[in-house]
Amino acid sequence: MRHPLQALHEGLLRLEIGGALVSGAFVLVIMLAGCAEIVGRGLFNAPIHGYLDIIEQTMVAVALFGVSYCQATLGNVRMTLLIGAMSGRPRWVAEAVSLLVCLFVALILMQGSWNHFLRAWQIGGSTAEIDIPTWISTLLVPVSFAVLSARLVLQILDAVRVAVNPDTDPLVIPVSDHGHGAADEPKGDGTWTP
Amino acid sequence: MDPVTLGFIGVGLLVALIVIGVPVAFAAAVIGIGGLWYMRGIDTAIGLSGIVPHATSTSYELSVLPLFIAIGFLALHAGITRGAFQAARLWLGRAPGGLATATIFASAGFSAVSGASTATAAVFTRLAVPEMEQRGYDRALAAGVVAVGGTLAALIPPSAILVIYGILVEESIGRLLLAGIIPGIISMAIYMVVITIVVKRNPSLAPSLEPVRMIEKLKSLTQVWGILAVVGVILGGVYFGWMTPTESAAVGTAIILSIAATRGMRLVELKAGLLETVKTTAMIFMVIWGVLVFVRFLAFTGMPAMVTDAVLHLEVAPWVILMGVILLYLVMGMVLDGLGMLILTLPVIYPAIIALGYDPIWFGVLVVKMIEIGLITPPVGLNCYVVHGVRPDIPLEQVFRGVAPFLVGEVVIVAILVLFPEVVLFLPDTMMN
Repeated sequence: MRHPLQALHEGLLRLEIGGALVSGAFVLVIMLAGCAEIVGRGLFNAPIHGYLDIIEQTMVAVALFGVSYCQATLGNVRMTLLIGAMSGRPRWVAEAVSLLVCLFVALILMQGSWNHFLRAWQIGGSTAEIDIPTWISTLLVPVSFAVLSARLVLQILDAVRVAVNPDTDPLVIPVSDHGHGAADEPKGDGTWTP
Repeated sequence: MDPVTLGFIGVGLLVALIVIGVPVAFAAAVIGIGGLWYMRGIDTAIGLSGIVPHATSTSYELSVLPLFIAIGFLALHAGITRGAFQAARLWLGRAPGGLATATIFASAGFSAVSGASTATAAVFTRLAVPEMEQRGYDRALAAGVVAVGGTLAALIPPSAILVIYGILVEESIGRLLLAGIIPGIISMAIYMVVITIVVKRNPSLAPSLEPVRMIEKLKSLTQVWGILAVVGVILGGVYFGWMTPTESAAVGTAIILSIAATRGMRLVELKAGLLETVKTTAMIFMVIWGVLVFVRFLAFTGMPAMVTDAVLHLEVAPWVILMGVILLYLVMGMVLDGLGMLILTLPVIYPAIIALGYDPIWFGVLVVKMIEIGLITPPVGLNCYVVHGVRPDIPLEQVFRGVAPFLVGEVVIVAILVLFPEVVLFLPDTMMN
């Protein structure tokens, strides 16, 4: 029988990949908008009405919709010099503590951005050129941090589970053993560090 | 507690959290939130930090980042990398250490579309190292060259880390991108000189290749037009003031996407490229948010202003302080990754350096150069680990041994940047509005 953590992980991952793909599609929207703006402005002296508004509001989804997917695939840069040198129970206790710090931050940002959304909703602000209501983009922030918090809770439960029984393998946390102070990411063509 | 002392404690705790393995973005944010909570109460901490993600994401200037990152991932699928290496090999193969030089040249070309150091090193470890081994090249030299070649990505536009620097210190992204070009070319030239000297001293390290007909050389150039187009659009557009950095990146992405499509990129590859783009974009934004929360806390403590004041009252020449900063980056580069170094140093060091009269654009290029040197210095030279990670049969010590001669070259490059700031500032200063 499948472990409940694994089932939750797979369900959440589907949501995260969906969000990341929407974010990727918005990257292409920004690309198209940029090209259209140049053509419109350069050739026809007719810039796109609301170009800046579109880019700025789209960027919220681009930046936010991938945060949980990034955490799910351990994409956040961190040093593994110390933690990578550990093994067994101490390693997973340390992972759980590190993830708890992340969860604390995610919850604070969720609460703060929710307050920010409520203000935008009550005041009813909109963008300067084409009047897009700003509450839409402000709402995306707490929603994204809520998904990130759910991901972190799963990872913490997984780390605690392995810490209690170090002979088992993690179900939710991708295993990487770079242990050399590098970004904790899969190495290969997709690796990115500036 | 005295606020300035609290600021110093905050920096110390941040270092501790990063070292014990908390992701850099979350480590910076938690210290920032904790500090604001202690000084101003929980409501202020939640309120101030909660605004940051939305306020930062809706910045037009930042929209350049996902596009630059997308260019890099799509370029891989477009086969541009292999084409660049083959062209460089045919043109430079006969020179002393020609394949190694070709690798540097092609790395620079790939950097022009990727902007990511470790990605460049990983790609060329797969592409160039086997070819150099096959031609009898010394393995340490081959490994060292790909590790060093990757560092060019930070200077040659589009450089993601220069964009991050620009956002953190609120400097013009367009000027920063232009500022990296000449130092990038100088770095490339000096790496080539190092290869030539090393091979002249010991020709057995790199046997020379057989001659190639001119027609083949000319044919190979058709493989690199994509790179030339992207570089031309990004630099030309920004330099002549025709486009904003975001617009030039949009056109660059469209060019690369078109090339990838004509070369048969499948939907599944586009999906993979976009997922990598989004993952990297989210990672960078998380870091930016974390740093900005941390910087808000530091500003409340007054610590950066105090450090600036103390530095200005030091009875030593500004260049001595600058040397101290360079040395600090060199030491930090041995144990920290690039983003970690930027976060820890910029909020405190940047105001002091600017108060001493140094140019912010020039300092950005210098900082990024120092970070890149950190990528190839032991014990935590990330590029060297990437080479070793892709090719576990090449021992890490061998990679570091291969990199060693280039570190001498790096000293020369840093000296040029410090002694002749014009090489950095010439292009941005003549840029048209």
